[in-house]
Amino acid sequence: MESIFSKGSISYRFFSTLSLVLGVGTLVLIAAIAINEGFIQHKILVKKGTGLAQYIAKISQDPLVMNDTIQLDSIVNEARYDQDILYTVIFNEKGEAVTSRFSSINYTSPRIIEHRAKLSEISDLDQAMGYIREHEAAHEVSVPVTTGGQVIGRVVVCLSKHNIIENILSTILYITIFNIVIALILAGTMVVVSRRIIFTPLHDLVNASRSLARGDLTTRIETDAVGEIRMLIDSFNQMAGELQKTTVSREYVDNIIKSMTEALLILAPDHTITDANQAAARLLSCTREELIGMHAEDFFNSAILADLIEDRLHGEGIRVDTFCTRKNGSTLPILFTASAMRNESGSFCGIVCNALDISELKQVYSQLEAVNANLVQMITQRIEAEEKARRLNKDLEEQKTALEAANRELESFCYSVSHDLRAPLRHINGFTTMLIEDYREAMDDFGRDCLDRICAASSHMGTLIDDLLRFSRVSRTELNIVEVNLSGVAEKIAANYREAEPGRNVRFEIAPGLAARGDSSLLEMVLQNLIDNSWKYTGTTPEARITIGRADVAGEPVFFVRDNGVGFDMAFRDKLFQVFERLHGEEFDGTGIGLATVHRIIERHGGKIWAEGAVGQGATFYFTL
Amino acid sequence: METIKFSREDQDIAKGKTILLVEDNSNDALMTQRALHKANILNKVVWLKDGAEALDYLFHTCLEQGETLPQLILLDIHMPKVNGIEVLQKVRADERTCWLPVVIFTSSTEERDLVESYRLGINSYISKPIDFTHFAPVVATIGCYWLLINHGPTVVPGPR
Repeated sequence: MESIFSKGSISYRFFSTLSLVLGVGTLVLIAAIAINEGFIQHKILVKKGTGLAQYIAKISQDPLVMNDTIQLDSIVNEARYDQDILYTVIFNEKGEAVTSRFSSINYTSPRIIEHRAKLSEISDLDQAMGYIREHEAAHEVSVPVTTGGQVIGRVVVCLSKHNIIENILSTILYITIFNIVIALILAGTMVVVSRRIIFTPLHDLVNASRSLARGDLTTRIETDAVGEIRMLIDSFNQMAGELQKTTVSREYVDNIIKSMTEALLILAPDHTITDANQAAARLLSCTREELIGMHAEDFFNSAILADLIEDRLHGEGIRVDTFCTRKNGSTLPILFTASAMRNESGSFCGIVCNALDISELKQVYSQLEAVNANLVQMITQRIEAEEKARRLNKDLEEQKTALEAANRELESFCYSVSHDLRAPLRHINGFTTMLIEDYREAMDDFGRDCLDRICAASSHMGTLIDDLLRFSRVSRTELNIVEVNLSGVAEKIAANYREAEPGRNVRFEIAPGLAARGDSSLLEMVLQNLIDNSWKYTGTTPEARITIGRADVAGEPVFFVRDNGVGFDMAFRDKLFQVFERLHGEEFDGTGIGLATVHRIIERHGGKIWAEGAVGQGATFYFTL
Repeated sequence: METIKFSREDQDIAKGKTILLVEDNSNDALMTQRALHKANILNKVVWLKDGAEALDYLFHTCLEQGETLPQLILLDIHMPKVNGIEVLQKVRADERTCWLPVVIFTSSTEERDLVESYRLGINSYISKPIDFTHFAPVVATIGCYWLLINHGPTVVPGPR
């Protein structure tokens, strides 16, 4: 603890002011008293002297008239009782001292005693008186002796002021001593009290403030101060509390800076490193202490340094993917960010830099780049492939369109063929028939035969046209896939035939529940054709039997239409389904297109059809769907 | 098919009724007319070779010049200049002729011709059979039905 009385302390000022005031006060007091006392004492003295002189004047009236010097001497002798009286001399009207020197001068007075030696040398009373007056602080009083209104002499009394002076001096001394004592007591009390009330708390406050300023936000003052000081201390405590609450303590911040993994560097505007954290030291492979004071150019290249100027760091600062040179010479890729640091007045006072080691990132990055390049290549290839596919698709589309167009042309061609060919056929048939009807009798057998053949041929041609049309349609129409009840269809067809030729003895054996998925009209055509064939080729069989059913061949369901008609030679089975190929001659009517149509229909359903037979034993046609 | 033949009574009943045959092909026309003859249908048959002539006959000759409108129109579809469908449209569009029985008699078996014709309001659609043994009876049946069996309006209905 510093001395209470150190030059700058309040105590010192207190004390010095106090001393000054007291000192001046004392001096003034002393002066006043001295003057006053002197004055009073002087007055008393004069009064005393005058009184004595007057008394003496009175009692010395008679002796003076009588000129009784012995009496007069004894009178003045009496005045010796007071040591303040230096001499008492009576003078007659002529101004001559009538009292003796011995009696007049009060040799009992210590004042006179002092001058005795000298006085003994002076014989003359006046001279003696003069001498005394010169060498003593004295006051002379002169009173005239009057009798009957006539002045007959004079009494002179000389009083020493010595006592007055002594009195005054002692009074002064007492006052001074008293004052000093009071002053000391006062000072002492003040010191103690002020120390307790003011200076100790203030000192605590000073220390606490310093401690708070250093960053210890837990600083509080405990005190038993009173009054305003207490208020001050309380508000200080409050302030410290608030500060602690709202401010992060220095320690905390230091901790953050020390613990963070990113390198933090503070640079001065001239690029010297003024501060760095542990991470920075690790990054640049030196110690933190070494770093501080070094120049940024020791670690960073000129490109970065060029950016570390106020203009460039304005706003959000810079962020650069670059590298640093560590102390051991190796380079490290870093992500370097820097921003300007400004003080309260807004001026540029430093640069805050962050550096993050991105060597791993760079590795990953280059790997990614490689992968990316790969991907890009793959994508390019993929795109090319897609392009190719697209082109192929386009070609296919075009082909499809062309095919569709061709199909449509074919369709209209077929239509016109059938339509336009029908008319001439009709005419041939018609007129031939008319000829037969009207000129039958006029012709011979050969003629009639010719006409018959013409009719038959034209009819045949009509059937041919229809069959061909149907065959071509089969290839072109859209399949409308539904569940088809084959048994039902077969029954219907069978019924038709029975109705058409009730005379024929044909037994139909149709298995129930035959069903398949396919186009109903086309499948009907299939059964129609096959049953038609069976019907046709059992024409010469007395007990004709046509069986329609389903069998399992190698685990797959297979439909069949079987008859016990004339059958066919298995050697020619490949020709069965070809257009216009017939395995039987004219004995059986047929265009040679029916089976080809059936084959095409089955094909369109994704199935297979084949036949088994033997000459004279019938045929079986198998098909799958 | 059995061939129908008109009896005397039939011929009396059908007397005065004409048949308008609109057919571009002379062979078909000949065959049709022969078939009618063979069935003893002796009614007058007006044969016109294309749609334009048919329309002219109907609207000009019949309506304006007083000729009797036919009781039956046998209409082919595919004809030069004005085809059967157009004739049909015109006939059906005019109040004076819209009631006329029109039978499409064509070699076309196209669905769309059928649909279009019925949409425009034909009375019947017959496909010409190729086989003459079918052709003749069909024609005879048509004639019988429309001249004999079917009751057409006896008085030509005027405008409403």
